[in-house]
Amino acid sequence: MIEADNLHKTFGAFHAVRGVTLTVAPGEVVALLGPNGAGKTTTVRMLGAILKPTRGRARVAGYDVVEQARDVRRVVGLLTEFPGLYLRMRPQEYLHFFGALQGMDAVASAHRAQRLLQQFGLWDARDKRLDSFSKGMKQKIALIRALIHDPPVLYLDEPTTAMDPHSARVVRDAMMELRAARRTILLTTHNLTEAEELADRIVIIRGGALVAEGTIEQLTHRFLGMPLWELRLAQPATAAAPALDGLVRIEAIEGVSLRFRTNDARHVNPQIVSRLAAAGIPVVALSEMPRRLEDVYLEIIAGHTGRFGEGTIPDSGPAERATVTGDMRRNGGNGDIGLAPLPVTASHDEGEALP
Amino acid sequence: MSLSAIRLIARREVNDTLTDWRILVPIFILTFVLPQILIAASSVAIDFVGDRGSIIRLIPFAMLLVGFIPASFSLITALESFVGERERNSLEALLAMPISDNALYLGKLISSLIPPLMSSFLAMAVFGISLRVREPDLFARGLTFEYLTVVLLLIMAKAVMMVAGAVIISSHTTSIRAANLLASFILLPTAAIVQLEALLVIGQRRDMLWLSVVLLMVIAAVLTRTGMGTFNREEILSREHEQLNMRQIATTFTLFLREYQPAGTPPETYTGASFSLRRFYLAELPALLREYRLPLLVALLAALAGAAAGPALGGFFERIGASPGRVGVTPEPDVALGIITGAANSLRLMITAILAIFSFGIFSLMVPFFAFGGVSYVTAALAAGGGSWFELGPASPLQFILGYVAPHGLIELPAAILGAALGVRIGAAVMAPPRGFTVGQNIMWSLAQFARVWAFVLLPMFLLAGLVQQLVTTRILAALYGA
Repeated sequence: MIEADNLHKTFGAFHAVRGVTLTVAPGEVVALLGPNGAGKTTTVRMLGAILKPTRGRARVAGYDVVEQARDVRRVVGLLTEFPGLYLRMRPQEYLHFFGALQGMDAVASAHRAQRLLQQFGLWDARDKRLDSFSKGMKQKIALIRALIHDPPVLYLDEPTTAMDPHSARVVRDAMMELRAARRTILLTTHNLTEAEELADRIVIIRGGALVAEGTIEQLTHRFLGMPLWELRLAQPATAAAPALDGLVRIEAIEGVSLRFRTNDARHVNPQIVSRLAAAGIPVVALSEMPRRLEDVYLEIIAGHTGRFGEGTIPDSGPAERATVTGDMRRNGGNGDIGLAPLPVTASHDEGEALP
Repeated sequence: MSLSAIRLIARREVNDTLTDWRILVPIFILTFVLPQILIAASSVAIDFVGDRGSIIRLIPFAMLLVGFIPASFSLITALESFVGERERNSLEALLAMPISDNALYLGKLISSLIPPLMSSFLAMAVFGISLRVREPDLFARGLTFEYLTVVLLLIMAKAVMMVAGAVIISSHTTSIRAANLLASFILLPTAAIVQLEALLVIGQRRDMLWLSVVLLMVIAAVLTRTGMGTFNREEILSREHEQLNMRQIATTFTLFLREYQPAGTPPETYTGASFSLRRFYLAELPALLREYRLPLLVALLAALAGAAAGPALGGFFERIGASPGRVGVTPEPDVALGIITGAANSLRLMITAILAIFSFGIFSLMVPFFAFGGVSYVTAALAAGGGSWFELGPASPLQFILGYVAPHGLIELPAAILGAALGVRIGAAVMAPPRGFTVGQNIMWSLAQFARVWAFVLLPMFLLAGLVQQLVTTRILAALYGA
């Protein structure tokens, strides 16, 4: 549905986007992440046929973003970074204006506006002027504006910004529905929890270049390694290390806690518990450490390339690729993977199969 | 271009303006209160001056003022048309719509015009009706149908001119503050025009007023066309990152200078070849002349217009008027003077080319216009004095052309036309950049083409013409007219 090939955009001497290549399949939700000024908005603007690429090509729903710009704009619904509404208008006339610009007739746009206003809980406010709306309500109206012509492709820039938790839930549910209805969504957000919840795939841009892409699992594995488990004991954990020798490699020991990694918890964890019981060391708790997208993101943005190097994750199928582009290494990646959020006291040598 | 899109945008903007009390209140005051004040002032003035005739001459001017002041509000709405939306972050959603740039531009332009012009016409109607009721004599004697028509057209033309200019500014600035500062480029000339119109109205120069109407309409049309040509949603959003990068400007200009590629060819696709005189004369100049067919035609038309208008030029320009008196004078050959003449003509062409940027190429067209106009005036004067076109003699226009014009004119006049064509292209650069070029690139490209042709074609031609004038023309003149 979206195919971008080596997109570049320069503004004078400023190179905003450097060779972004990206494919988004129909019905897929892709989260475009990156720090401020990374080139996300410029990329979205190029894919929305608002800016022309300096180099490279892109097609959206089969239309070329340069040669068939108006067709592209017709099939895209764009939620901009700021709602930017015409504040002296009322919701229905505002939505009718944009529906009409999209070529909808008055009856169709009125019905659609009514349905969307009801879905987003704004129907009761339909007679109020937009300048009386709260930030969250304005954001919802902007989202409805993007949806008014029922586009097959949606570019959503921070869709739940400024919304209260309930409104954000409503919007996220709406996005789930859109995904179920096979709408293609490119989601730009700094809300990583939201990206985690909604996105099928994550694309990370830094310094105008695409530096990593893959599913959350792929990226997590790549940048954070195998799942990390924490064992809490009733006594100092140093006593447990000899009992676990040869079973798992210990990552860290801290007080009564011991951390280790395994891909095969189903088999390894019962053995650990039984070995410790046999050694007379009572286990208080054994739990998997949470691995958040935020940690992956920070790893990538810090310039790390991932522990398995470029290419596929060893235990992934051929269709499941998590890649890190060469550009990332040029931008300062050193191939080192640190588990920044955790105090690592034991040395580790990643990439090897566990016993 | 979709008319429905223009209508939609214009209607929304007009509704927006008409629901903004900050605009409505002053418009209401100017529409309904200002006319009454002016009529009251007229009555007081009649009593004070005691000369009803003088006041009657001021009535059309008062009408002009009554109409112009509300119309000037169009400047405010037009100035914030794009940059205001940009500051309110509502522009991107509009730019993402499947409508053409022209529809967007014209929608904004029309919406900026409608409320102020309606207010202006209403104010004029209020003024006319109030005057008819309160001062029937002033109404009957001061406001003729012709004045009303001229005033109406002047206001409309000025409003379109101001709005077209303001929309251009609005789409090329990044803040309302910057747009307001640049508005002085519209306000100052408009103020000068209003003063001139006031003089013409009071002086009852109806012929000049009609000429002003035509000129203002031409300027309004050119500015509107320029706005459409330069308006580009891409550039509006790109301005967020825009910086004046002199090094890059110089690099691009040098690229255009070294190598010819048709206008619109992106700089990054140039081969980067260094300049070659051989390639310039054999390949690039012929290609450039082919590309410049339209500007060459325009310059030729200017020359023909000069030839046609020539007989009347002497009455307006003293120097041209005195030319027939110098026919028969045969100067001594002077090589240095020939070189100076050639260099001066080249320099003149360069100055007109620079001025062409700010005058849409009009200054460049003056060169062939006056060159051919001057020749035409002298030949017409000689023919009117009894000189024959079919035989030689001191009063013969044919001999004048053969002696004074042809020898060096065969080189100089084509050079003047070519130079004018290059200037016209520079002037047009700001109006309609070709696909692939920004306005800035288009201006640099056309300046680079001018520089190349000026240095390697026009300068040699003018110098050669100067030398021919001194070494050949003087001898032919001596033979034809006697030493």
